[in-house]
Amino acid sequence: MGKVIEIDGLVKRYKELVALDHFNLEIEEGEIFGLLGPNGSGKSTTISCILGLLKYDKGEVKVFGKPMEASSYESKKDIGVVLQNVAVFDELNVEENIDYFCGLYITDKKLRKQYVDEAIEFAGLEEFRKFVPKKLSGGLLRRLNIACGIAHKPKLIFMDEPTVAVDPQSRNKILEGIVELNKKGATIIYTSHYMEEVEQICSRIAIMDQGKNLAIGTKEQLKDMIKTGETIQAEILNLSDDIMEEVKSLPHVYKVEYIDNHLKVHYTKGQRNLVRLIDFFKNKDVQFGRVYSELPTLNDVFLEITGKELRD
Amino acid sequence: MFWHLYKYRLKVLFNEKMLFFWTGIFPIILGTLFYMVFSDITEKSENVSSINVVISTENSDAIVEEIVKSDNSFASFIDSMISEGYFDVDYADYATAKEMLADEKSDGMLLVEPTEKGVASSLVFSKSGMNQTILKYIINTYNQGMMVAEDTAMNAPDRLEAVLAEIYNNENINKNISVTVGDMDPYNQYYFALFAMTCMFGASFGMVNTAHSQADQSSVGMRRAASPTKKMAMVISEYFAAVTITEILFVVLLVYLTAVLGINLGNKYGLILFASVMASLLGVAIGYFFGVVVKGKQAFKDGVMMATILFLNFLAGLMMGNMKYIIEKSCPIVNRINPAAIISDCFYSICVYNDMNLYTRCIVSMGIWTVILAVCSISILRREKYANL
Ligand SMILES: Nc1ncnc2c1ncn2[C@@H]1O[C@H](COP(=O)(O)OP(=O)(O)OP(=O)(O)O)[C@@H](O)[C@H]1O
Ligand SMILES: [Mg+2]
Repeated sequence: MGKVIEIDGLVKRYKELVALDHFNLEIEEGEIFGLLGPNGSGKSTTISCILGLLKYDKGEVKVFGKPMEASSYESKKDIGVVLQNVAVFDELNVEENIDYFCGLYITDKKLRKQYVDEAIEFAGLEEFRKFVPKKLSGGLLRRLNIACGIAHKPKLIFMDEPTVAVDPQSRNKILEGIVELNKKGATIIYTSHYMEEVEQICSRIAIMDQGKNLAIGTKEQLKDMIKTGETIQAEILNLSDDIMEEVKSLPHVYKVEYIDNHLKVHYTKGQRNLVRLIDFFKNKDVQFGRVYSELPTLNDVFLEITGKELRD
Repeated sequence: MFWHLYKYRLKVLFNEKMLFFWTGIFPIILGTLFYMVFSDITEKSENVSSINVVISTENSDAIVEEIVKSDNSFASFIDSMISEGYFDVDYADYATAKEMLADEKSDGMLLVEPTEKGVASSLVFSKSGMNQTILKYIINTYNQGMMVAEDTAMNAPDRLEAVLAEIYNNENINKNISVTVGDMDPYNQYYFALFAMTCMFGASFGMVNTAHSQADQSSVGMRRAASPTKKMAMVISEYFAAVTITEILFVVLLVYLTAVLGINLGNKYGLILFASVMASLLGVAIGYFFGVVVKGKQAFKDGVMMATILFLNFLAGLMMGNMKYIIEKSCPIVNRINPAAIISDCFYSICVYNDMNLYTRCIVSMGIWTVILAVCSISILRREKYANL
């Protein structure tokens, strides 16, 4: 499989602010690639640069193996974009909007009609064909935004936070749709600051912050990169410092926190950590409430790499 | 591709309700108001009175009456105009005449100077209107006739008598005047001002187009910039869509004024329509220009453009009757280059002034303006990448 996108040493400045700082990225054909980063980390800027819309200061961008310019019309034919801001005409209804944008790519009228119908079905907008965007709910509007971007059956699809402000039901439908598009052969670049979404659908993920690509890999690879292997939390009233110290010396424990009557024990790795901890409490006669174990999330990955939470 | 873009652009612009109101409905409302006010006035002053002319001289010491009398043919021409009821003549010294003109006691000042060949005459106005147009027409006809007569006297003296007879035939002038102005509404200039405004407001449609065409102006602009459709194809098809809409609104206004209200705008519809097409091309180009040159929020751009257009309209006298006249006296170049003045002159030239030279000059000026604005706009619109999104 070939490389669909190659970004090398991309630098983009907005006056003083460095939005992309020597950013590197390679994306293979057939991936659902997740670009995960907090607000302002440079996800949208990256996409605009790849699309050849935004001037950048340094670096190289190749799409389908060719340098991407504003005039790379051949490459653009195979690209679909779902931008962060809904981009549809308020003056046109659902069907007209999809037909309009599809028509920028597909000139054959019959084929276009078929594609438009398929996109409407894909987005579940059958009952809203004649609705103007103003009459659509937020979730439906997002789905229209997606339909407009993918109706022409592109090989490469950019999705910039397509699920922002969408209820869970619509969100799931959108995520399923993305997986379906990928199964039909499209390479997808998906940006989000929701780690759950990214974990759910992406084959590989890049974590970015302040315009830098901090880590890249499958979610398992990313989680392996960090120290945390498991976190166990327990509700305990009035825990003594002595006990705290003893917990710290249990096998594989590297950090212990006690906040608001919650004990949080971080383990590097190891098995049977939970059982061992409960046994320890029983031996020491420590009264405990709920106890639960968590495997590392991408948030832990982000936290460990940047020292801050993914979401503030 | 052209049709796809063109068709959808028509749809989008037709649904721009606010623009539609200002460019389409508002002129119709204004036209109706004019109609109601003017038909009232016309009824009250049924007999259109004769034109008040004050005859004076600027550079000669002789008494004005004497100068006129010194040229037999000129004197009898003036006499016949008085007896036919066209003119109401006063004789006055220059200062008094100017005052009468300024006080609008007089529609026009006819300045006479004795020369070797007879009396040379020239007209001075303080405003433009139906009476001024007729006066200008009559004096021009006379002057042209005299030139023909002179020419004939030199080259074909045997036909002189016939030619002179023709010149003194007032019926002839009479007929020509009615062909020129017909039984046209004396307030037609207001309707033509309305035409000029409608075409100028086509600029709003051009402005919308630029917002939708630039990736840094709108999200649809961004989506379109990411598509493989060439920018030029978009700009051209959408420009013509905006012109089409402006022209449709213009025709609706024209049909409404003539067919529904029954206003007589003369019969030169071909010229009116051609002028409106040229004016719409210019109007929309103005919108494109402001759309790409002015930086800032959409409301700010709209504001700057509308303020400029209204100011140009003001200078062109579309709001205050004699503004254009004042400028013509003090700084005529402004009227030659002000698009609003050019457009309104073009419409006036058809029926009010009845001046084909002026018409042609205005059409050419509009063409030049359109090309300049279009070239500027396109060179900016074509810009391929944006520094900010
Ligand atoms: N036009 C602009 N002018 C100045 N700064 C900008 C501009 N666009 C973006 N930035 C800055 O560049 C940085 C990256 O922005 P970008 O929109 O790419 O972030 P993002 O990761 O997409 O964030 P979000 O999750 O909020 O969409 C931010 O700090 C932002 O403030
Ligand atoms: Mg973004």
